[in-house]
Amino acid sequence: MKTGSLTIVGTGIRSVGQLTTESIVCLQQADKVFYIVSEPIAESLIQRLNPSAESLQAYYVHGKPRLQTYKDIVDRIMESVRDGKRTCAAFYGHPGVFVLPSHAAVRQARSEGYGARMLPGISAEDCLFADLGVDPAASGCQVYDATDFVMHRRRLDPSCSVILWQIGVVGHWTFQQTGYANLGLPLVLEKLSEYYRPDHTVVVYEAAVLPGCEPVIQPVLLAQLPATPLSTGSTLYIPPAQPTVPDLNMYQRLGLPFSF
Amino acid sequence: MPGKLTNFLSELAVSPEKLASYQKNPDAAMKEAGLDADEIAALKSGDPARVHASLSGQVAPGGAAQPQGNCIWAAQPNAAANCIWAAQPHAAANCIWAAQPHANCIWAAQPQADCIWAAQPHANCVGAAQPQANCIWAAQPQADCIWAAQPHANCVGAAQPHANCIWAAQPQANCIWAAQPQPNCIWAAQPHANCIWAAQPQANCIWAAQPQANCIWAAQPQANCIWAAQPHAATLVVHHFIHAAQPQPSMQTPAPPEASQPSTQAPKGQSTTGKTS
Repeated sequence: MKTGSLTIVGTGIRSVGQLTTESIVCLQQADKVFYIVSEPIAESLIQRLNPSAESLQAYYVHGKPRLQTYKDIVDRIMESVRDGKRTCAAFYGHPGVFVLPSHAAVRQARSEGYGARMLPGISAEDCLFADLGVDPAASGCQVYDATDFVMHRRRLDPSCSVILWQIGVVGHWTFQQTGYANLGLPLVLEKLSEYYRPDHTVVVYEAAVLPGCEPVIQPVLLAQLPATPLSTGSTLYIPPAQPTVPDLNMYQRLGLPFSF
Repeated sequence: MPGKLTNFLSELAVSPEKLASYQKNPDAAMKEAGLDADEIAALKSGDPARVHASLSGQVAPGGAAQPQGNCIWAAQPNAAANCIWAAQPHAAANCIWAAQPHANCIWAAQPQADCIWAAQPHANCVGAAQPQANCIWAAQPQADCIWAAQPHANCVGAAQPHANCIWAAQPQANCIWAAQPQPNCIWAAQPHANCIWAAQPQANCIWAAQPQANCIWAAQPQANCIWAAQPHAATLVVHHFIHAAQPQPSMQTPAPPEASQPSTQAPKGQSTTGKTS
């Protein structure tokens, strides 16, 4: 095994309280730290934990395709790994959820013979389950990026929970410094209308990022969604609209009573 | 000093002992850390924009006349350039102001508490004079829009109204407004509660002056359609139909709309709005 290594960590959505002990140790012991975080507290604590810390934010440039940004980030991280350094890259939330360059960097490092691993963090989905009181095991849960949902022939099951991420930036493939027009939202609604009535209550959700602040939990009718303020961090939670239909044949084959 | 607050919070993030101490007695922990009154007030406000502004060292724009406590001002107002901010925003927390207002915007003189204002209003927008509490305003209004003078509580405003639209003067509570009305549309002056308005009305449409409660309006009326002036309650106005000026109470459409059409269901229950960050 070559001397350089890579550890990917997550700072949680709210760094105060969601940064794991294991991640703190990795950040402290690394020879080189990179980070992309969403609030100044996380940036400050990373820099305090390791003076070598370098922000990757500069790779996000207005109008630049995100895929190019991700490639540049992976290249920068790999430079450090190839230099033989114990490299740690921190991303906010869970570092493997909605983070393309973290997975790409781990794959690249492993393909070149370096040790690479990813530590779990607390994602926005984890916060959503806690804040909305949703247990994904209760009725099942489908999760899609909103743009992915529009672009592909996804099929929804209205008897289970549905989570659509990044509902405020549908169809945008470049980074925008000044906000997003979100012109793809009507297409999301068009597809959702195949499964839900316009008076189905959905929830626009945004996890709390800063200490002492509450999450955004905004129940709205589906028909009201176009008029609801959305941010780049907005997530759409769609509760089940239909009861779960039991398969009595499978109950019988599993040897389970109909109610237990 | 913003750095002190950032340092305090980053210590909480890496020290379980300090976090426990803060959770047990926040006031004592903040005082011990040497935070000043503004930083303590920001942290205790529970308002994301205010906490973030305090962390970033941002302050209210100089043009503010008399901002009350707990109001949050724009994070990145245009460099002084002719922005006029509310003269007397109400006290009480939860007023959220535009994050990136353009130059030459004029904002409401007396917005109520809990109002959420446009995130990115275009230049030359004129905001409502006396919006009610809990109103949600457009996220990206176009230039030269005129907004309702006295919207009721719980109204939801259009996300992307076109230029030169004229909006209802006195919309009822719980109305849902069009997301993308075309230019030159004239909207009902006094829509009843629970009406659903068209999402994409064509240009030059004239809408009913006094629709009854629970009426459902067409989602995509054609251009130059004239709609009933006083449709009765429970009348269903369907896509592409042109109704008489005064339909009878028993008048119903012959068939339900096709499943592929936009909303034809009246909303059940009220919309509830929460804070946005």
